[in-house]
Amino acid sequence: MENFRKVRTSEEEMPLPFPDLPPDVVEMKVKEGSKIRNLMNFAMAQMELKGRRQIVFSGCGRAVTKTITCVEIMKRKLGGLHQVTKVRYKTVLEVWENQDPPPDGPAQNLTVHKNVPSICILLSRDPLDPNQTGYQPPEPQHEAPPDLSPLAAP
Amino acid sequence: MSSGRPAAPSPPPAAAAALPGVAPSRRRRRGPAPGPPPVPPTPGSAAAAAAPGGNDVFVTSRSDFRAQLRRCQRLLAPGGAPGAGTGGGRELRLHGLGLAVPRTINLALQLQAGAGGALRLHASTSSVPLRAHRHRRDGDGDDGDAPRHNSAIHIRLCREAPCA
Repeated sequence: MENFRKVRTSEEEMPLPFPDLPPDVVEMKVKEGSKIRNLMNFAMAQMELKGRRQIVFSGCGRAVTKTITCVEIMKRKLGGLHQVTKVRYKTVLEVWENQDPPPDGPAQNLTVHKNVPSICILLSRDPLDPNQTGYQPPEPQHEAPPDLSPLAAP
Repeated sequence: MSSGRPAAPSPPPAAAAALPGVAPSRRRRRGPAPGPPPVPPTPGSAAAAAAPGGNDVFVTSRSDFRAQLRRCQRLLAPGGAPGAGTGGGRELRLHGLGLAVPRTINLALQLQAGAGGALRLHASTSSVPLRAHRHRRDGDGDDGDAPRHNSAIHIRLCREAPCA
């Protein structure tokens, strides 16, 4: 493989694993190089819009951790959000180009199919079905005294 | 627990002689990472009340993936769970923190694929406050800093259909 170079990477389009979503739901596709500040600015502005009740965060591979981070920040900022988490594999197609092709033949390309773990998280202001898998109710709102460290909680 | 990985072959004498500055006995062989300390569930905790025979697996990014997979399969097999009796472990909880989150999802999906769809995944996320190792000096108070958090995932694998 030392003579091959990755020239293109594309993700397979998959429908969201949440039924009964409104057609205009915002899907935040988190990438590995996405800035959390940019993501959260856009997502918070969308959730502040009147009539916007749900938002979906999705990411795969090394962007999974960043996806969860965005969701946790939004839950902490807004509060009272219901959550459904789905995990699955996503197929990523990588095209590798031969850097040392044979002189009398065309350039050889390799197409590699990879299954990478991905996560899709639905956040909703409205109550969701608590019986579906991956449902997480909103955390109870409580004001902690400022002098208590959160690490001291049992 | 042994990882089942074959031991790395020792370098031939010619290779060892080619590295004059490195003694062969000082070369470290990477073994399985030590597991986290056992966390006994408190009787009043919600996790203990929700799953009396549950097993917790803390996934790290340093331990061998195949060993983790075999360990989880053994815990889910009939009679594999220590406190589940002869009925087998009906529930397994995987926990991954930070960089180990994709590996945790991969492990859960591999277990589900290996079980032929008989397992049900129930994923939830959280943020864990980190205990920072701070260099405290005289008059240098760091108590006002906001605590740093890291993202975590918790995946429950259940054999029966309702996973609640």
